[in-house]
Amino acid sequence: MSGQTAAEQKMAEMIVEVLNLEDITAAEIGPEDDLFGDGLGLDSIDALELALAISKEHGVQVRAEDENTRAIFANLRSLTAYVEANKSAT
Amino acid sequence: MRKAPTLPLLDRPLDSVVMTGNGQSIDARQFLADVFHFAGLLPRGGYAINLAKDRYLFLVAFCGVIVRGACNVLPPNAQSRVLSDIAEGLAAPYLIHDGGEPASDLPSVRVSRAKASSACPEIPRIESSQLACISYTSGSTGASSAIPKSWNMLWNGAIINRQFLLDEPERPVGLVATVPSQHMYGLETTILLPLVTDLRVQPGRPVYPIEVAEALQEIAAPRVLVSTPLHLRALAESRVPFPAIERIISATAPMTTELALEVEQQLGARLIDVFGCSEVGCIARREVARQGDWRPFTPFRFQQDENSFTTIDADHMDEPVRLQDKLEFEESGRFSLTGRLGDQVNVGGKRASLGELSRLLLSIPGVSDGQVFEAPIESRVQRLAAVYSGTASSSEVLRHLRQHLDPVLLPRPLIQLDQLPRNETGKLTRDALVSLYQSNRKT
Repeated sequence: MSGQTAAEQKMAEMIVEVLNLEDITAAEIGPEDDLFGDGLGLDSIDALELALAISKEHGVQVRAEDENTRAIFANLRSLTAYVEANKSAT
Repeated sequence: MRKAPTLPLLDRPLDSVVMTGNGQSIDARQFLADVFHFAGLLPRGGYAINLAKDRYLFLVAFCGVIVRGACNVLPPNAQSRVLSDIAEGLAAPYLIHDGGEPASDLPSVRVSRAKASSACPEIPRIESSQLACISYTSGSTGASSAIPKSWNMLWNGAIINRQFLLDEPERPVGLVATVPSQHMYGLETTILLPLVTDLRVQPGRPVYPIEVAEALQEIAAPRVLVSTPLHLRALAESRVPFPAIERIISATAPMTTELALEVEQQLGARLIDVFGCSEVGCIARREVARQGDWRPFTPFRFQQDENSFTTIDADHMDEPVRLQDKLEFEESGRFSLTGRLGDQVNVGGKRASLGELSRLLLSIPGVSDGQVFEAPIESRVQRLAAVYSGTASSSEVLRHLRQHLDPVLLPRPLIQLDQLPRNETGKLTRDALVSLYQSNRKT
């Protein structure tokens, strides 16, 4: 499966690498699959690791008023869109 | 030591600033008025599951509950199943929240920022023996893991922390924290400590580096940051500029010297590593960049038995507590941590017992055999993995586990097998688990 854009594909590769996800490949992450909860099953530790990798790679600082507000981290598509939008803004 | 029959709720000047941030500040006088106003909204007695996220509102609610003669209940997380499990064992439970309806059928009371206009009451005195809060060890929510504490224990713990965590307790200091108020370490440092010293609490709970930097900007120097190794690593590695921080207090997992040096260098602050546990609170400290051994806070007494268990006691404690860590004492009374007793694990600051996690796995319908173990990977955070056999699909098993556990404790991966490779004595060896884990890898 896929349907990932080029940017989403890069983000998926980063997710798999940074988080040591060993039973899934980057291409298997659907753009609209939940990253947290029932989908990929990421958690607050992953969010922090991912945010750090994104700041290093793209210079974009992730914020979430509340750790549980997961709009940005909802899925691969929302996360990639957020990073792309904030990259071009700077 | 004779215990005083009552203790105050607050020991700081009424004109000192309790909460600050975003150009706003609230002094102790207004804080007390807010506490009494909120207490008036509560039923008499009972158990209040305190879910408030805003640190000031949590503080108001926490004190309001105590003033009302009720008990705060601090759940390890706000998952609906966890809340209902906890509520089941309590008489007259209700929820306190600060917005965002909790997913639960329990009655709830909202705590809000509306400033109470009533005159400041006198500082109330609380019965020392009053049950003030119940917290839970993070790995489980069974009745056995409930940790009840009296006001006497909380109050005197705060007095001890004032002496041992801050060098000049009289000096006003701004405080930002990345840990939740509901966690015992967060409760002690960001809720109880401000009741007995001139701390000005920033009400947010920033987690990501940019949020932490902004929260620190909101308050005046000198600043104290209360955090964890997990968050501090992210801060040190980020390229975010931080305002001057005087002191960083870290707990939940021991720091390495390397990380401590990096954090001190990047953030320009002195870092104090704190050892403690939910049952007791903060117990010892070290400046880990310069000190390897732990310096216990003098009110605590330690006793070791022949099985290397350490029991800790102090005049203010309701009862002695057996520690889950192995302590090795030096002549000087300082100690090192040399491991964990039993099957305790620490995942990003959340503690759990592998045995209890495995029992939970086995309790799931359609799981006939299974075991949770530490994932054999070189990563910065210890992770858990699990194997099981049975008819339940892995997504069913995960859905079930998720209802009971903090997400960081969920096994990753969860490997389904026809049969677990138990040896002749029925044991799953670490080697067998490691090779299962490795053969499951796709990359």
